[in-house]
Amino acid sequence: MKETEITSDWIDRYNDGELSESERIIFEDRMKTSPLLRSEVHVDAALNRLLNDSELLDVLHKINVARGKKRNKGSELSRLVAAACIICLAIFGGTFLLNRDAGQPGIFAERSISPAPVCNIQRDTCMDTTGTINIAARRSIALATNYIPLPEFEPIVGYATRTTLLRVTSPQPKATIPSGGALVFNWESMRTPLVVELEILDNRGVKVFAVHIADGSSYSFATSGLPDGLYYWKILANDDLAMMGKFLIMTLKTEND
Amino acid sequence: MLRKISEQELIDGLRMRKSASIDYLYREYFPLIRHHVKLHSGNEQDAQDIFQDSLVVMFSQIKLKSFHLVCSLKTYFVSIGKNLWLQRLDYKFRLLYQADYEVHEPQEHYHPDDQVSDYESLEMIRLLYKNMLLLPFDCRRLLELYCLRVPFKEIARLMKYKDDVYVKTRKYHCKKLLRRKVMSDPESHQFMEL
Repeated sequence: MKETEITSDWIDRYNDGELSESERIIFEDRMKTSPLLRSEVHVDAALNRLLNDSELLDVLHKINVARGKKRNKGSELSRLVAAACIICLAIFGGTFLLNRDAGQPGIFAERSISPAPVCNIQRDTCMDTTGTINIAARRSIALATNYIPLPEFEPIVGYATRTTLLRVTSPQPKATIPSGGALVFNWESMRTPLVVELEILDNRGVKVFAVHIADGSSYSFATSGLPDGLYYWKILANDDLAMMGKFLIMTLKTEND
Repeated sequence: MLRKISEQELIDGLRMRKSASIDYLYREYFPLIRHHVKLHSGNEQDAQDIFQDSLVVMFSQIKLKSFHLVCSLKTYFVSIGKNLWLQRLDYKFRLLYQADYEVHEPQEHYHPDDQVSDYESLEMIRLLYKNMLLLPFDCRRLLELYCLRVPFKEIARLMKYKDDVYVKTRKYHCKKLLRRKVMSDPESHQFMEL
């Protein structure tokens, strides 16, 4: 028997109560096996509620208009500022190019890219090959971008390698830490002596902390000083990656702020 | 210099959906919402969303006969915004990590019996409206007229369509277009069973 074809207007008619009894049975049977259909019915029902609320739509429209008015006022000023910047750049650039000595590197000369610094939160420093950089400047990064997962790391979070040197027993591959809290790492060594290294990286893959542990089978990492955001940890044993995980630091403020 | 509007004027204006009241609210209260949201890991778009949601919630409360303000309107509005932002962060966190979190509960978390609406329905309203603005003009116009309860025959006349049957078919088409836009919007994936 040929299966009844459900057309898209069935969704509207179902939510409007316009399907016949036999059509309704067919449609509800189909919904049981199709999450996509169920989702679309859910969206359509919400759409109907919105379309039946002309007052709410009116308010939404007026909020949109108010937002547009504010944006237009802001954009006029932005255009003036942009024009002024372009003029200044043209004057500055022209003056510089005219006065530049041959053979001297200009301000737009390519610079070599320094390797990523290794930072130690406890000492509030980042150390790279050229010297010590104060970590404070890093904290000005917009917090929203601090939560974006790093695609290169995500597939291996929670993946324990086949190393026979060490087994990580805690923390869980995905953990949550209150701001200022500590993350405790525990492991079982299969071989001694073993040099265990713990690395903490931010969601841009920059190492923010690293420590070598020659003795013991645990380490408590204090997160104080780390801005809210998503971080990854790596446990290495004799330079082999044993396991990788991630944790989130989030501060939830109270009503009093 | 702009005239300062009293709270009662604001409430009455909002109840009647006056543009001047909504403009005033946006001008005076949006910076407060934006400040709070940005201070707590949000960005400009988040602030816009939370402001809109807060106004939707406040509007739905103001319409009720039982509505009675026990604090200033500003305090009330900002507390709605703060609660909504907390809900949003909470929801996004759970969605990202699908885990019960071990962070300490804040001392004054939002209360279930607060006047704050269901988070999901607010998100859905915002998604639907955002995508409605992206529809072709004739679809937007048709849905607006349908929303205003204009009869199909009248819509056919206004939009120079063949007849009311065609209007109904177009309505199905426009709703389907909007549904598909919403379902392909990345923000809607939290509602999908896919």
